[in-house]
Amino acid sequence: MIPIELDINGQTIEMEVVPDLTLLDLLRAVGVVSVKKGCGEGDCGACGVLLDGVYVKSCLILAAQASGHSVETVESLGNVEHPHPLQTAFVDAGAVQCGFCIPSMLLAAKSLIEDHPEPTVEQIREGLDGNLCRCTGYVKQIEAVQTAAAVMKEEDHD
Amino acid sequence: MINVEKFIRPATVAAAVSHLKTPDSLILAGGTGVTLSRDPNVRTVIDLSDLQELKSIDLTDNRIRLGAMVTMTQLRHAPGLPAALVAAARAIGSTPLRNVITVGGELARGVYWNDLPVALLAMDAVVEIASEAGVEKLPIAAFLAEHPKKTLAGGKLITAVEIERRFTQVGYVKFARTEVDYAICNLACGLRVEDGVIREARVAMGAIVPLARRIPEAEQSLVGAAPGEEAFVRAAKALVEAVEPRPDFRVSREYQRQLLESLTRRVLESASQSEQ
Repeated sequence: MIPIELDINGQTIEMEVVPDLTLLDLLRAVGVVSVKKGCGEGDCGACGVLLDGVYVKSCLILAAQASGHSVETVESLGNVEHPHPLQTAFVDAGAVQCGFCIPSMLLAAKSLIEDHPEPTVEQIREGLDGNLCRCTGYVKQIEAVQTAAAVMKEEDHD
Repeated sequence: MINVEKFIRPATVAAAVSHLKTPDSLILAGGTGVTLSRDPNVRTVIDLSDLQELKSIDLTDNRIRLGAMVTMTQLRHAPGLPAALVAAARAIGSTPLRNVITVGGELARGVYWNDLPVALLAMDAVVEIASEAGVEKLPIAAFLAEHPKKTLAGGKLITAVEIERRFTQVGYVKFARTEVDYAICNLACGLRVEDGVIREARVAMGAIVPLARRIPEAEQSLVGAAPGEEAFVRAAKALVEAVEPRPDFRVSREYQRQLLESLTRRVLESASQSEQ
């Protein structure tokens, strides 16, 4: 067993884990269930999280490897009472259907807007290229990211 | 990872190398290739994520030095790098994979679809390798003469890649079913053009061959010629004649040959329009 300590959405957890436990399985085991296990091998992107602010696939990160680092998931982004501009924009644009891919896609979008506060369609397509969505066809989500980016920029100015 | 007993995160390259002596150890860089390993023989994982000394890109005069832990995202956005290098980094996987895949990992993995080694072959890169015996520098063609697993056997760790800007024009192309898919074919070239004549040429490819390699027949056909359609068509034909395509369930051999011919012309054309 390997002792680990990591920060998940602002809360520090300490535990001992088996060496082959992935960050994805750890997160789901401690109740962070917005992180989905789709393919489990790095293709679908439903398990995307921010690790020290960098967007990664948590099925390809070992829990032991994440020790000493901080993890952010959609649970820390916003909630029904206080949604993040990205969440509002995704709902308003109709970019959410079944919802399975959306938590990680919101994190990918957050990360790409940090890099490109006024993202072009090309930059959005690249930033979301690690997220498979079988419902919506990748059109509404691009619109939603553009809308959210504009709102976030406005809020920054206020 | 099923039988791993020790998970080590060394603070220095020397410490990392000292743990590599045992044959049951595994190096963890970005992790995309090894995290899901079920190899029962691996007992020790050496996580390189604390080695800050391997994470920087250094540009000096005519040289580029990439630390082994530099990610594809860093290459994608760093200013002042050759366009072919940026294109190869962009061709790999998707954003969350590029955020973790490293220069060292791309070289050590030795799978047919690797993109970065192809670009590095076309630029005569040099691979810096540390072991308990010291540091050695190996030209990339020699590094890839055998499978990297063999080249790195006996406790060797890739620490950096160095590129001298010897070629005035470089190019890179990847062909795949989708942008994020593994390459069906990838090609890179480096040309040193002086007074309108190609003095030196490098043509490298992957995916259609089991391991990235240079194609000397295509290189020789370019030397002494003026860059342009005639020379590029000739080089493409020389390349197709020299290469025996690897069987690929996705495409036929005829398709691979046609692809090789057009992509060779395309990569040479893109290089001849590039500015180094």
